[in-house]
Amino acid sequence: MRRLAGYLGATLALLALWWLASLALRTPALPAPPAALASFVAELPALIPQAGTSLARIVMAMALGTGLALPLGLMIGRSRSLDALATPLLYLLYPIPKVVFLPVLLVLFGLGNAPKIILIGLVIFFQTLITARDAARNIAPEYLRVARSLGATKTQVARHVVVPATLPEVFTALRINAGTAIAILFLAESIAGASGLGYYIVEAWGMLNYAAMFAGIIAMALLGVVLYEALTLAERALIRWK
Amino acid sequence: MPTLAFNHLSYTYPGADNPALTDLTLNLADGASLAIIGPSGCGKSTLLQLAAGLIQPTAGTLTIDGAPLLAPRRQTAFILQNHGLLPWKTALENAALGLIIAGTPRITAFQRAQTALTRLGLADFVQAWPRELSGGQIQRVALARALAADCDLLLADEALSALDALAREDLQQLLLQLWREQGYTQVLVTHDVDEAAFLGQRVLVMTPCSRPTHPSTLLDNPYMGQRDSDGFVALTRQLRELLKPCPHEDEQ
Ligand SMILES: Nc1ncnc2c1ncn2[C@@H]1O[C@H](COP(=O)(O)OP(=O)(O)O)[C@@H](O)[C@H]1O
Ligand SMILES: [Mg+2]
Repeated sequence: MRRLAGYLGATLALLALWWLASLALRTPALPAPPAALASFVAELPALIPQAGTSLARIVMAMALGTGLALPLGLMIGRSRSLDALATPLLYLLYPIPKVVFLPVLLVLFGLGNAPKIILIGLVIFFQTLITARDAARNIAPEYLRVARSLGATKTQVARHVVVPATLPEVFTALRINAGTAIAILFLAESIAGASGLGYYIVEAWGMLNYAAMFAGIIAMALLGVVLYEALTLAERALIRWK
Repeated sequence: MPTLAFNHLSYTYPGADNPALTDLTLNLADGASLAIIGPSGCGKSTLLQLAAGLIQPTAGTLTIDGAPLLAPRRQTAFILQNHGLLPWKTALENAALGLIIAGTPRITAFQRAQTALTRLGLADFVQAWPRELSGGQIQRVALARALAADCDLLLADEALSALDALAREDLQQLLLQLWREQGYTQVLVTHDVDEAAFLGQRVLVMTPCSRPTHPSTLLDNPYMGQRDSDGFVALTRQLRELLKPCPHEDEQ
């Protein structure tokens, strides 16, 4: 209930700011909220499938990037030799903006879902890898000793200590990933492709249909809310001990 | 129940200049209770980690029932001052952890953990998270883990140090009771003279002057469990005397 009130308040504040800005600027590029909202409602039948496409790409990319990076990052964080091997490589690759690989991915995988999912997955992979590695490095040695003194094998230490101990940080990474994913998705969909919210927004822009463009932007914001809220729910279900 | 033999046991941490523990020789009979007392930094925790099989001696040997201890044993319970429980597991899951790691089926493990928690007065806290428990309750859960796993060797490293006086006496009483009832061998590290005299059949005093020329002292303690008896009071006085810093230490 309080969260709902929070969203309501935030929405009203944003709408007010937006309205003021549109009154001040008086340009068709920034329509007033009523026009944009009316267009959002009118465009819903067109927006929903596009949003579905975008959401599916993000979820796949997050599953792929996180699914690969998490076990790898935890292992690197717990193994000194693996760390020595992987970290220099990681530091060489991490600062490169992964978007520069988009042309290559387009050549390799065409204009469909694959290059977009891979690009977003790549960005998420590196972010998650570093977070997971650091989280695994920083586990209090006392917790590891509890499991080891009970004769735990490496797999058991991972299961009873490493994974649960790092889970809170993993969720922080996931939330950051969700934001990054939407930003990269917009880029990928607007540069290459014929579907998704990014494509929809750029199309509307090209036709100077600013009301429709803002309808797309509203849809994208809602997509973010859905992602964040889903992560919060999952976090609450999985981390009850804090 | 195991007998423990420390034979010229020494340990130097990797990269350290001085040994953390030097040339300790001591035999512990099956079912014995040894209290270890000494100033901080004299190697008590190191000794317990050796006895737990978490680290390997750099000189000398440590045997349990005649065999060198090469890895942690399932029937050894190790109770620490802090961090003894995993915060992401409930009291029940924490108490069952030893059994689960040993491969006991979950239902059996949880049943035995539940029985142990009940025995230690925690029946109402089975589903509690560690953050919801008091210091005394946390140490009871750690003890319940030892009981549930049917441990034959209990190692405790300043397990009661963080507790307030009342909870500490309570737990001391409980430790004495459980040891008498279960018959396991125990090694308890403490910095509390009273606690050492209350819980140790023998008390090992690792003095500030424990160099080859000033070996640690091992005292027999017939007054175990008899707080306020004359002998008990005399022993605590003797322990305090032994623990006084030695004046010539710096010049050596
Ligand atoms: N992990 C470690 N690495 C290097 N030196 C250590 C380590 N742990 C303890 N020491 C050193 O070994 C000595 C004994 O430590 P410890 O066994 O913890 O003593 P106590 O438990 O009696 O306070 C101390 O001088 C301490 O600084
Ligand atoms: Mg210590």
